[in-house]
Amino acid sequence: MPKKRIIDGNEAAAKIAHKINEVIAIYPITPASPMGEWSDEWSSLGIKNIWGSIPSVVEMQSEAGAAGTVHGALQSGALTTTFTASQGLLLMIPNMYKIAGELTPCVIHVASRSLAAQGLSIFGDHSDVMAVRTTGFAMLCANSIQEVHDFALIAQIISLTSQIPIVHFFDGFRTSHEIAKIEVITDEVIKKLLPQHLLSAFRSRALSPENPVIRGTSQNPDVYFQARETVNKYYLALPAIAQQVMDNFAQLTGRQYQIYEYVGDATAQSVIILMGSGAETVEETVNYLNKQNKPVGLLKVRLFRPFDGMALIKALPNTVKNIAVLDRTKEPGADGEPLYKDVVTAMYQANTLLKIIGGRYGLSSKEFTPSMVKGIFDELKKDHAKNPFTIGIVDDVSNTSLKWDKNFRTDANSNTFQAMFYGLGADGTVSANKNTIKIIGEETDLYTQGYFVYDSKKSGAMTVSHLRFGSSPIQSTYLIEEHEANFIACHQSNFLTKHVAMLNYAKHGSVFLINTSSNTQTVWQTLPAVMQQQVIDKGIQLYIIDAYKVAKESGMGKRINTIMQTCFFAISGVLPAKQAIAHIKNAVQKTYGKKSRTIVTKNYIAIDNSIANLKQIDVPNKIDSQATEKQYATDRANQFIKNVTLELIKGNGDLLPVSAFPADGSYPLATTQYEKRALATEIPVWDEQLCTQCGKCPMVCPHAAIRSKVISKTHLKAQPAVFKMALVKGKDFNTGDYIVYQVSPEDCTGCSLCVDICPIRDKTNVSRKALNMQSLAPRLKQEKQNWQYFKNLPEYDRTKIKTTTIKGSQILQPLFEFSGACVGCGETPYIKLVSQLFGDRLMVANATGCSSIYGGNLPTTPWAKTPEGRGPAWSNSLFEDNAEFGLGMRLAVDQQEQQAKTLLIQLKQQVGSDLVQSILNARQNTEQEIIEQRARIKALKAQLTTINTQSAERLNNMAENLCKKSVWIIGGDGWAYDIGYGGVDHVLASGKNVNILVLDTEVYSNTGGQKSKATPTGAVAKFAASGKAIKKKDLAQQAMAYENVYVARVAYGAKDMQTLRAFHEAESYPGVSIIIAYSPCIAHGMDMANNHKHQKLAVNSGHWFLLRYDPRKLAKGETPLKLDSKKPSIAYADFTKLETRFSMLWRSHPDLAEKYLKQAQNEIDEQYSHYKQLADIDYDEYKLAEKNEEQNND
Amino acid sequence: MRSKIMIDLTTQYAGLALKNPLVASSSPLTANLDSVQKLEKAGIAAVILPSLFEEEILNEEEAFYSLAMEQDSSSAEGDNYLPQAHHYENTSERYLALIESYKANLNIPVIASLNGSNAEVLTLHAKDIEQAGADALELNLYQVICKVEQTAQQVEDDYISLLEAIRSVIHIPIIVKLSSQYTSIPHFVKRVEQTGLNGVSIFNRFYQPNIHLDSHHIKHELELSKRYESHQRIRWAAILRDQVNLSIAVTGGIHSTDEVIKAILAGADITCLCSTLLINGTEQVSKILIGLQSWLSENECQSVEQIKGSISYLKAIDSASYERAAYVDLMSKNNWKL
Repeated sequence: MPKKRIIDGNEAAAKIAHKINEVIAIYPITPASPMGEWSDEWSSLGIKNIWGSIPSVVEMQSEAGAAGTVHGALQSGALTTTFTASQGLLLMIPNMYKIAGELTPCVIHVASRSLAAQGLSIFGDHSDVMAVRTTGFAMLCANSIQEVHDFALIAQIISLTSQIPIVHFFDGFRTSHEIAKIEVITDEVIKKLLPQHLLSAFRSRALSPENPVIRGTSQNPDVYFQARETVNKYYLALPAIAQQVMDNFAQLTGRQYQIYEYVGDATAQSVIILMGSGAETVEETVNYLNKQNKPVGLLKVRLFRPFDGMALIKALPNTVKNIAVLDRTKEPGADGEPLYKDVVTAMYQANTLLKIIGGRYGLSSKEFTPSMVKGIFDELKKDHAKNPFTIGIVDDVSNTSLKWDKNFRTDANSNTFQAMFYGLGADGTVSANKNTIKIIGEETDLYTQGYFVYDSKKSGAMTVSHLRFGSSPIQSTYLIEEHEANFIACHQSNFLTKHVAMLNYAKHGSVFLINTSSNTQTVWQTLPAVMQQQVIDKGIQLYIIDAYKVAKESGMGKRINTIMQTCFFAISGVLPAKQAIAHIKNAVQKTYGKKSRTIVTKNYIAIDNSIANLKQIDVPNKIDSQATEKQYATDRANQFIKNVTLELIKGNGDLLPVSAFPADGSYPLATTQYEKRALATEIPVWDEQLCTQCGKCPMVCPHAAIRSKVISKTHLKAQPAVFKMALVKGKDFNTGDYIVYQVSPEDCTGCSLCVDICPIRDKTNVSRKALNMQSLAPRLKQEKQNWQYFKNLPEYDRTKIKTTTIKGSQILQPLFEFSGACVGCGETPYIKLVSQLFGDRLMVANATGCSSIYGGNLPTTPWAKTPEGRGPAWSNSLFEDNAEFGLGMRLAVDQQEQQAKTLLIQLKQQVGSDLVQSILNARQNTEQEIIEQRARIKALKAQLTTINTQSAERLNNMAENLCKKSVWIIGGDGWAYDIGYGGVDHVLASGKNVNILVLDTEVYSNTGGQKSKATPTGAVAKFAASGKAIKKKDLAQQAMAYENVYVARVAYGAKDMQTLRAFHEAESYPGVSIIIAYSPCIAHGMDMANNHKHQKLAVNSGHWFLLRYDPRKLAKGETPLKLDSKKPSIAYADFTKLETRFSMLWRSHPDLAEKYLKQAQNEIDEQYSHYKQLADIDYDEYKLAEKNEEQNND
Repeated sequence: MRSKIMIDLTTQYAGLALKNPLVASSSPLTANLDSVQKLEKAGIAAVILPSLFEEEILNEEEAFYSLAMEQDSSSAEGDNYLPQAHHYENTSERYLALIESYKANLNIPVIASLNGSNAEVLTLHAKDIEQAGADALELNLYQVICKVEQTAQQVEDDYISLLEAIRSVIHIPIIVKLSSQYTSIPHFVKRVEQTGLNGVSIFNRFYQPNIHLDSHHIKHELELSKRYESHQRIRWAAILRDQVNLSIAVTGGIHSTDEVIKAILAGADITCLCSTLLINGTEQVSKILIGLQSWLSENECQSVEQIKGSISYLKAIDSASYERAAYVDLMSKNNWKL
């Protein structure tokens, strides 16, 4: 009997891929990463494929590397696969041509995703797969989780039979991440469908010295063309092979697929043709419309390449007159998208001239709903239907968009239970919902669907879970729509005022559950009026639970997941409550029973307490609200921010028309300040009497939420009642000036790192510091006033600040603030420091990764501007090319500077010799000198406007390049050590004045913690489930090998002054600099409140000893390398035992853990000894010896 | 040679028949089969495994739960950051596997050790330990009572309830390892005996907190025992010996044959060795055994049982020396070593 399992699309594909293949080359990329993660985990557990071997899973340095490995393994006779998406698939293109050109069977599984164009998007559409349609790979599209599972196998058989490699693709997120109940294919079925002779035929073509051939020749004009035409017959044969394989599959599984499958009225006049998850929604709509006697239909395209136009036409009813072809991609400048053009061509070739229109839909996971489908059918009826058209957006610029009736619904979900859960990232809501789906899916005959919508922030953001349960298969590949949810749960009471639209989704008579500390008497007033009205109008049953209180009393700490899950089952009615509660308890027992028995007990207590504490509210029949919708301070905002950015923040982005957006992807800076996310429950409170003004607190703040300013008494007017300040200490400041350390209470995330780093303790009570975390609520109002006042105080004159001290550097305005990085992020303090020291002349090339997401993910940007309007110019090109991208910036700046200088000399007479000379000869090493140069450029530009020549105009356009620019190339270790290393290496060798900052989290953080070459020995990461066997790459040493590169290894939490020195030295070095910065990350499995402690342990254990290598010292006859930390003083184990990434290996693979620990300790000892020897070289003596040798030789 | 053959070193301890009174106490040396086999070869009579700590169990359960349930991020790219803990062996399972491996490879009794104060946790794991084949269980009851509201009576009652709970669920011998800080040690030990427990081990050595003058933090430091620490334990073995019927183990400060003999004379059934083994290696066991045999031989004793408790509180020539009188005596004789 085939088993039914509750899995998502990625797991569905990986299950088959791992069963069939022998080599799996992987590289992380959203949303395909989980396929590689599953494969790695299964192989690490020794799970075998159907051939009896454990597939070799190898992570490569990039998708290009993965593709090369796939190619090599295939050529050598191993069944091989890879998983990818988006830019990753683009990197595979060169190899894909080769693999297909050599008729090499394989399947690449793609969770299709948007391509980076005007902006990057991780979400789903077909842009990526459309970019590989010319490679010669066949393309097979799966529309649902079951199809993904089935097609993973079907594709493999087609490929082996036809010799043509296949891209098996499905929609990123909507299919890759949707959880559904599917029938799992048994090994017996796989074996029957994949007979040995197919494998033998494949192996017989493998390269072998026993029977050698050469493949991959270089061909000339006499041969290439004809040779290219040899493959046609294989492509012509494939559609029939594919259909035959599908028919054979149906015989064994009962699931029949067609390469072009028609659904709907047999006499349909209007048909939609498309592929992907959207086909499910169209099918649902067609079924409904057919019941209304509408003659409409759907043609699902499964086989996109090779495209069999005749088979497609044959699949359509003869009655069809109007066709809308939908493409989930965009080809700017084309006269239609790919599928549309294929259909048009097929019809033309068959002399079938119907009305065919082509439309774009669903780009970047834009919703595609039945109402949109209905809108397309309505358009098709028109005599002059739009062509091309778009659906799902309002295009008020090109007027391509169709209108649709947002209130249209099918009856597909009339018997489906639909539930929405508003949770906080990391509050367990998503996990609990996955568990709920599992319970219902496994314990009942109901069909299930789960889909999870995430926010754009990495910390403190909202997740919305959409769950559906029904007695028939669920095809609704769209979110739960307005007025449709049977159940809505708000797991955080502060969402009530932030997301007031949540009850728009509630159905009449639905249930609304709130986790709140309010009681039955007071909760009503905490609902905004608009919500109260909806509760009354829709007859919503209102329930409350104080889940945090129940959790605490049940021994669950702050965990509310089981409590909220229990409440859902108790009141939703999706299952009989008693039965459901028993199921939850069983699930708890099943999951934790053996390993965590006290957890089981606590959960049981929590389940029982939840029922006891769940209260229904008698809904008053009147509006009586004390709550107001969250307001955003917009007094400083421009029109764009008001009209666009704030709407995006409020979650109204889908409603904005095309005209609202910039065409080139440029967005204004400093917009995070409008969000005021108010994540903290406790904030740091400054004791100005105790404080010694060291400046460490703003230095370490990951969100620039605590700031320092030095102000003159003359600026202190009308200050708030309890605004704190102290006379500034130190000879670097004017006597009588004041220093202020102020927190922005609604931007602080409550990470407590500022308090942790504070070195000053109260002599009478050592647990009290000069900064102490205290409850936000009683001081919110005051601190908001204080912050507003502080913000309006003038910035201190940069020319008067000694920026080489921590205190001084932290008085500089951060131009990177309030990012969406994780609470306690270990990367952002470095970026903030760069922005403080060099922000007003900074150009940043930012590799894709965490820093490009918290740095550049809409709706807002943390990069900010000075009061004068200057600030970092930031851009993200790709993941793999960032070093080159930054080098390009430098070259452009240098080129323009050079041109400007040339023009300046040419215009010497008109401009004035003194000004020209002073500009050309200007030193720009200090803040003062830079500011003076800016003044000269200003004078120059004023002068140029009076000169009416082309040269003057040209110079005016590029004069700003006469002022020094600081180019920083920033990215994580995945970029610098792996995918972008070739570029990093090349830039290191360029000698150009660029600064490379590697934020080394020792793992691919952004994609969810996959191993990189920076991952240390013995650490567990995704793609290294059994621990990393090889030592971390020594990037510092590789850079030092060039001898003309400034190199530093820093850890601000261990030695902040060394970090500050390194940043100054790197920037001042007139060549390439690289700073490798230790960045603790949640992927290390640690409490980020202990971030600094872990940095110290890393340094003290020798895992991350600090160093600076300054080539300028060589010229002075000094030793260029300086070790800035002492000889390792603790064992490596003392560092690793505190981080889950290491300690979990002791649980899963204790023998390996022991082996790696010893290995790592040896590696550290050897590495330190090696560096020590380098640092101890006496260059004076060395030079003297060299000189003597030369003299002797002479 | 003749006298050696004649001397019987066996001892009865908590229902276990031991070939001599030397038992390896919980230490890194009893944490792996290799070193335990060396101890057995050297003549040790039984081994006490390192403690399975309640905190270790609970923390691990919490960590596992967090990995499973709390990795949800708010990011669509990484909805978690570490591989899910689908297959792993937890500390408790490894502990049980260690017991099983010792039982399969050793010919001496294996005594497991549980450390904590939570009845639910300890009873669950006591049952597992029994099922894994341990010959006996040593319970290390350890709490630091910091609240003024908590009375000595409440603390002792709670301990007794806990011991009763554990006694009721397993059948193997149970020994409780005690702190020396009871107002009336004999009374408490008597109550322990009434729960049906089989022995007491006196006394636990606690790692004491130490204020770090640079950081102002409190650090726990591990120091090996000193010989003088055996004196206190021997005294209490002597006092307890004739007043209770359960077995007595002396642990702490037993470094040489002398302490072993003194403890037995006072009334100990066994002596537990730790620091001396860590300092001198496993061969120290053989040395002490040879010394013990020689002493018994030289003193014309035939067996350990013969001398056990011969200088107990009731039997000692100068039994008042075990009491407060000894203190007065010491002061009055102007014995200050200045």
